[in-house]
Amino acid sequence: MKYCNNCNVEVAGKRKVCPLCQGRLTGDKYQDEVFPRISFIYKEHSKFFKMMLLISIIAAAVTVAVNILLPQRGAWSLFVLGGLGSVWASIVTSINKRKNIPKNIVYQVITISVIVFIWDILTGWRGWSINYVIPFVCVFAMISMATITKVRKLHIEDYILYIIIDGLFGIIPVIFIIFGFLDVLYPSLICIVTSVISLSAIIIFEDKRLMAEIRRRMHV
Amino acid sequence: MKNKKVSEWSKLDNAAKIFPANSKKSDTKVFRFACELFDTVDRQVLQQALNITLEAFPLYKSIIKSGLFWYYFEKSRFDAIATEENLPPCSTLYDKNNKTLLFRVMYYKKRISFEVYHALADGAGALQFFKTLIFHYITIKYKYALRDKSPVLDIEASKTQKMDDSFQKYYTDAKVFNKKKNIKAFKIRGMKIPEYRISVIEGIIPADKMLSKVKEYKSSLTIFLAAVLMCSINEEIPLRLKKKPVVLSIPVNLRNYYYSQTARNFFGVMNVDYNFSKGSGELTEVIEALKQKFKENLTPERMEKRINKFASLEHNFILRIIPLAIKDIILKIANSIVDRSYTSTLSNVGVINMPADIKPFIYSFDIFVSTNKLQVCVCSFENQLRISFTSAFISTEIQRRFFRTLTDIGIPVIIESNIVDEEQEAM
Repeated sequence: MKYCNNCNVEVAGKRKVCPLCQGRLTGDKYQDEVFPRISFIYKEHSKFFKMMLLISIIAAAVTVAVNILLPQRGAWSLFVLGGLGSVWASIVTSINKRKNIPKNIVYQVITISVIVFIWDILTGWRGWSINYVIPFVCVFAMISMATITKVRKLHIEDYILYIIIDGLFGIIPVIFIIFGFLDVLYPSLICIVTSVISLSAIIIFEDKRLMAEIRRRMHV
Repeated sequence: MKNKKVSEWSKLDNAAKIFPANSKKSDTKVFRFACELFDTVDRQVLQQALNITLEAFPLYKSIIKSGLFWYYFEKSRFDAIATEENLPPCSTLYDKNNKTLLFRVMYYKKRISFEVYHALADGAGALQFFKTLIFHYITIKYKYALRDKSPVLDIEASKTQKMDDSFQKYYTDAKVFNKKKNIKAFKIRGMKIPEYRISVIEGIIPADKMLSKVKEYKSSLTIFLAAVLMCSINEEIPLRLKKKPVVLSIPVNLRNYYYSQTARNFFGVMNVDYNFSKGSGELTEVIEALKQKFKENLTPERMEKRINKFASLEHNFILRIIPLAIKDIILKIANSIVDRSYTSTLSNVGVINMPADIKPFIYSFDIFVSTNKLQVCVCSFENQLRISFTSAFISTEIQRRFFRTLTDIGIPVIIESNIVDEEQEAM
């Protein structure tokens, strides 16, 4: 074993310097290291995202500047900012939840719905968000959830909650219909019917698991 | 046939509830037990031993999920696989976006390492699992050498006893209002190691020599080491901050005070402080001061308060119905306040015992814990006492002074450490 004359300690491993005082060690017997050597990982993907973030900021700053120079057409740069913000919101949620696809789908449905709703309001409410986008996103989410869980052979208990949330979300257009917010009915009707079918299927066939899941998630 | 069984689940115990909200890359709340043998570890035997051990500790198959009000354990279908060590010590085990089992078993050359997420168990609880694992590993691997012997492990707790939430059992309704003034402790500062890694520096010391020295100071081992640690930290305090006390947070294993065989959490924490601007700072004086503080802190009333403090979290109705997302924020704020109240932590896990027939196959045991400050863990096996420092800082001054104090009073020390600085490596 090696020895540090400074600290008066023996040092295990293949060191040249003392872990305590960083002084030179004497003696030349080598021993195995106790811990494996693990190199620092300089994360490449985070660098990519940092580049993307910088590019987005450059794009945003330049458009705002150009918009201020050419104000004749109104504040069109806000659209660019809103667009960039929406894309980032969607990317960040999907990256955070990438390990759990059903959860990812639910988060995407909610993020997208909120974003299109805001866009619709800010661009003079033509109702396209609740007429078309939200119902179709919901239907698409339910179909993809059903397919992905079957293809990836996920266990029912890992996604039952997300099917329920998505199903309940898909019933919300009922309110729009009752209050007469809608100009076009068929997308919402498709959405509501799909939701009712998917919710009933879960309640009929997986009632025990559903109750157990609710009990677990809601315990106080 | 489809499996119609509903997954088992259970609540987190009272101490565990604070961990998921406060785990981050810089402080993963993971601790490691390691056991060094005399031969290279056999992966297949280790896997076999792991499978047997898991059957006796059902909770270890769990993952943590979040409900509307609380986190909970849910039995998972993940398999526990023993892997060759390829991660820095005490790497993340709980990540809410990437669910895995809450422990890992790794091997490297002659060492078996077992890392646990603190929400699952405390040191004493996890030690039950680790001892069982090592026991099975040795009985399988050295079947031939042990053929005439039938070693028995000294853990006779049933599955239910191991799953027991002892905080619930010993909770009394007594109020815990103690208007203790929150002292702001001295905080160690310095450059940190990149990527939230920690440095591990362990001192191996002959236990008999250490204990006879401790006797000369008329002290107990924990008090003696706490005093040496405080004095080592004191040397680091810049003059303008000398007014702040050095506070050590010391976990207390409540199993020593209440009957419990739980393999989950059952610990309390006591803070002991010493103000170097008010005393002489001599080792003997610090020891005397600590003796008094330990005595005050280990009375039955204080013990009861410790249990109630944790358990009150669950018995306060208003707290219970606050949604988890808000609870997380509250617990994070509470944690950052608590964090400011101590300088460092010293945890003495005590003597690790194994059956006499098994002992000859084991060289040593050690334990250390993740930290974003500096922490010390102590345990002993046979005549080998191990003092393990983990630290988030690049500087090793406190460790150097600590071991220097020991060698100066004639205690021999062998140092083992991990490499965090590339320059330290030999060519």
